[in-house]
Amino acid sequence: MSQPEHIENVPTEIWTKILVEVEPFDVLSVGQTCRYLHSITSSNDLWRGLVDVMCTKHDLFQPSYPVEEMTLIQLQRATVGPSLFARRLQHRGASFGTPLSEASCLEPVSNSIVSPPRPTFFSQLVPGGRFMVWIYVSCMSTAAPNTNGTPSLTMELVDFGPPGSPLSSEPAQRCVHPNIGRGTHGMSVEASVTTTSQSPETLTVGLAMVDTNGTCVASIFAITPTRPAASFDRLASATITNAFSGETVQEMLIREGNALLILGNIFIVWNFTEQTCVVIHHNVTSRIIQESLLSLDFDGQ
Amino acid sequence: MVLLLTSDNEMFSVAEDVIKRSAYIKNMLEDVGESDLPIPLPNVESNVLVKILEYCEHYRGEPLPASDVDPAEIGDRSLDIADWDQKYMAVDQEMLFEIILAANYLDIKSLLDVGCKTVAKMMKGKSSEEIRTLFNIANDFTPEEEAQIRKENAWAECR
Repeated sequence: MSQPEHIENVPTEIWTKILVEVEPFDVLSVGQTCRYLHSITSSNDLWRGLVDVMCTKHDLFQPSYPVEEMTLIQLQRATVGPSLFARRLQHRGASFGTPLSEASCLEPVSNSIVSPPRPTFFSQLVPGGRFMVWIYVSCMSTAAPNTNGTPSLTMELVDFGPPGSPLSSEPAQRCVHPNIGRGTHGMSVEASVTTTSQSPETLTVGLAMVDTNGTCVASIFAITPTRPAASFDRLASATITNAFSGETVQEMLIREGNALLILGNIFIVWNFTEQTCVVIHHNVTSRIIQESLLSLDFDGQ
Repeated sequence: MVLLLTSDNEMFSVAEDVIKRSAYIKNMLEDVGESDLPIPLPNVESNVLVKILEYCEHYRGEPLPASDVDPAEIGDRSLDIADWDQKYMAVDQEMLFEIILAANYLDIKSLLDVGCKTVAKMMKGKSSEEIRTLFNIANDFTPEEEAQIRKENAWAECR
């Protein structure tokens, strides 16, 4: 049986153009209508494009999706995943903001237990769901005896493998980058992980610490998850001395070339590409006002 | 004026600044220069060309989109269609797809975009059965094939 001319006359590249405009769910429905459209919607190329669109739309970390290596089903699951999650929550009458424990419809596809060697200061799943960043203190005494056992900070990137299908039984790949800073007793540490549109292949990690002397040290690292081992680079570092005694780092945010640090009633705006820094003392006490001011000022930079 | 000859042998005389919205014809005019010979359009019928010219006429004088890169390609994924374009696209399905094919052939990017978005909008949120009805698609799967595809897609169903 042949289809109406207007369906079969339309070449694959135009169907592709149409299908990247609809929701991934709709693409699956279109593929269930007839043989011709099933063959068009079973193309890895189409789904690679859809994964790209999804990454852009949801600010996901591009290397999480190595589209060239992913199978059709992985690509499909990865693309449909975010909308499937939303749809299932809605289906159960739940909405975003519902505690996960109440969203009983969500069952893990598989589990993987990965433990950091030490308690972490910081751990974050990178948007995209493939990578996780840890920062923890490790004792240097065994690795480098001459440091007299000074504790130092270690950064680790954990790779769970491409998302979109149940986790493989292989253990997660872990890349360790030791000695990213010195740890002292009683210091406060805050970090954040961001991706930028300018270099979607690189993860920017900001780390800020205040030690007991009131010295604030901030660093920016770039992690590129290349194979076989990820590369870690220190992009910039800044030390601001003796200003923050008794303060802790409450927040660190990165937007493109700027980092914002909040320590009590002090804001530090650090442009780490041009190495300029502004320290602002303020007396805004309301957390909500602070945050809205920040989002205004900071985005306006 | 530029002469165009459609597949059903009808001749159209069109102002150059109107038809330059077609990158295909714009490039041809730049390569060949002034000519009294008509440009043959073996893939476009006269009733479709009338419709295409209506579009080009409406946007006459508006700046042409930059040739290669379209920065709005990614990110601007909304299915918003301008009012005039929506009315323009309110045609039967056969014509809609003819317009898309002609826009593709004549390389009128903005029109191709609007056409694809119109079709996308029609399909959005519909089940496969609804899409079949919408576009007059015959189900040519065997029951076994259909069951197989259903099984393959079962993971995406709402449980």
